[in-house]
Amino acid sequence: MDLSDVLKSTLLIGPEISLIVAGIVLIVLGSILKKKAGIYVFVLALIGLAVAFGLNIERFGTAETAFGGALALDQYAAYFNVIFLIGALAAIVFSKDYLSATDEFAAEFYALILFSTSGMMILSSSKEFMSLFLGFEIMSISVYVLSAFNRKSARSTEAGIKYLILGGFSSAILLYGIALLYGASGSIYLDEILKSFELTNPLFVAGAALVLIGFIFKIGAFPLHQWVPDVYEGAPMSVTAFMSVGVKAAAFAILLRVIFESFYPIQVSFMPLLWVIAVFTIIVGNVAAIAQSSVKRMLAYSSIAHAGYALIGVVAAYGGQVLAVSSVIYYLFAYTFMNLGAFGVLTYLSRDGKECETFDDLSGLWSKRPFVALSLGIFMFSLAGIPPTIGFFAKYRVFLSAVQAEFYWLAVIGIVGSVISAYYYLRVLVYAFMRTEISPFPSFKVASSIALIVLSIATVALGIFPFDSWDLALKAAGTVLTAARGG
Amino acid sequence: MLGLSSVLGPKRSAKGKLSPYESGIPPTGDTRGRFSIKYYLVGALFILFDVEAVFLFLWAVVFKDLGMLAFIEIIVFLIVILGGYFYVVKKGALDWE
Repeated sequence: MDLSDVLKSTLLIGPEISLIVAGIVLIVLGSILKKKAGIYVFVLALIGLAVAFGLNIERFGTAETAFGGALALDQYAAYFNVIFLIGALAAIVFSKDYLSATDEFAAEFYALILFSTSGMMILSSSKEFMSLFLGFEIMSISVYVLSAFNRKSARSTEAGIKYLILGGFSSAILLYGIALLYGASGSIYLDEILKSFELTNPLFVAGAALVLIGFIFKIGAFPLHQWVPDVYEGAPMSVTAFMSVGVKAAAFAILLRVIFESFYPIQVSFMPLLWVIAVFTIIVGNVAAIAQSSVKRMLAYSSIAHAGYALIGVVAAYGGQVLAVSSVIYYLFAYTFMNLGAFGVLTYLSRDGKECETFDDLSGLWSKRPFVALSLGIFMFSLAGIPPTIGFFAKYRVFLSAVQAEFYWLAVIGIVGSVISAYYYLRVLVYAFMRTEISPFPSFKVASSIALIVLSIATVALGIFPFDSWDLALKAAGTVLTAARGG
Repeated sequence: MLGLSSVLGPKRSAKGKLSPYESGIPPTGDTRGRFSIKYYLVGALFILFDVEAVFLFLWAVVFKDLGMLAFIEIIVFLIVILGGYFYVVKKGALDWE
């Protein structure tokens, strides 16, 4: 690789570079301005995201590779990047009001969100295991720090430590899997591994299994889900919103890419295993969510259940069904809006260090803050999968793909799971709409209100008119399946 | 296996071998001495910048063979490190008092 190649590749990864540069400028600026930095760093973070978003839009329609084929800048990556950028944008906007009490470290907070997002973007476009691992770690380490950001809270610190240690284990397992695959095939490129894949060679099978375990940990699926409730509950509210959307979508992005671009030959033998994982993830997530007395912890368990619904699509994609793959992508897209919204409402209602956690904190919301209560209603209906919200259509497409692939029981379990979930989502609304106020609500917050309005409009409008979002998901699924189809 | 090696293995004790390891210097005092908390911060920063300096060293050895490309890359790398260093100084992490 000579100089012109490197420069060309560097220009191609503009979105990632713009986030990293914005992040570095943020921390330097934050350290100079100290406590006066508040609004400047916020605007700078938004500019960084806007530039990244604009450059990312250009990726739709063109498929380029950068750095000698290490990164594939295709539609698939571009679609997921939109999810990550929306997640980062909403997290930053919600954090602006949330951090007001402790904005000494606001610059670092925004910078870590930007770094983490750039890691996710590298992860979603990586076609080679070294850049994959790099993206994986940039994403994870930033999120470890973010989840311990509330330094004075014992629970936040516990969440950070727990996530760091368990995440470190999962990274080690992933790396071991990569090492085995490299030992067996002599290459770290996904397509080279696909070419030399031998089902009879235990090194390949063990390596693939270990790599998948690493991703399943990040998704928070059944046997490796125990960290999710503790970390999501302890982390600051806006970080939880970002993690539950961004990290999960990034892990699904790379899971699908690795399954279809590299492990395609053993995909059939892994499918029963993923079937079991999907079923147990749905059951465990939904049943545990019923028993929770904290809304935040309930949403954490519900995010496990949602990972299970998305896994239904991964199972149904067996054999390279383009509809099933795109239903997973679309599900994550839909989940972004509704889950950011749900956590956004809780962030809005958190005041000076006290998080809005119990059901009682939401009592009487309708009479005092009708618009917040209304948007909470929209997000809860969407999470429960009730039409005409985006949550309904996303679930419909996932279950449809399961039926088309003749996984009838999987579809039935998924539907039963979402019926159970209606109980605990609607319980939130009972408190918000039918009880009287117990504790006073915080004052009006401008930035968060705008974000909540935009998210609730998007949740309903995209449910009724999907515009291009579904077609683009189909095209994105097409790009990742070309290798599996015989390329 | 661990048990076997402790039973069968030769034991030649010496004063130097039995003393606690302190990076090769003779031990001073007991192990329960307390360090200032600032020591850990400086220690962590030292490790960070030390590892980064290792990359510079490797690059410097093969500077002529790598040419312009590596030079530009190392400049970018250094700018990022300088950003970090600037941050550390501004945040007062190196102020002992």
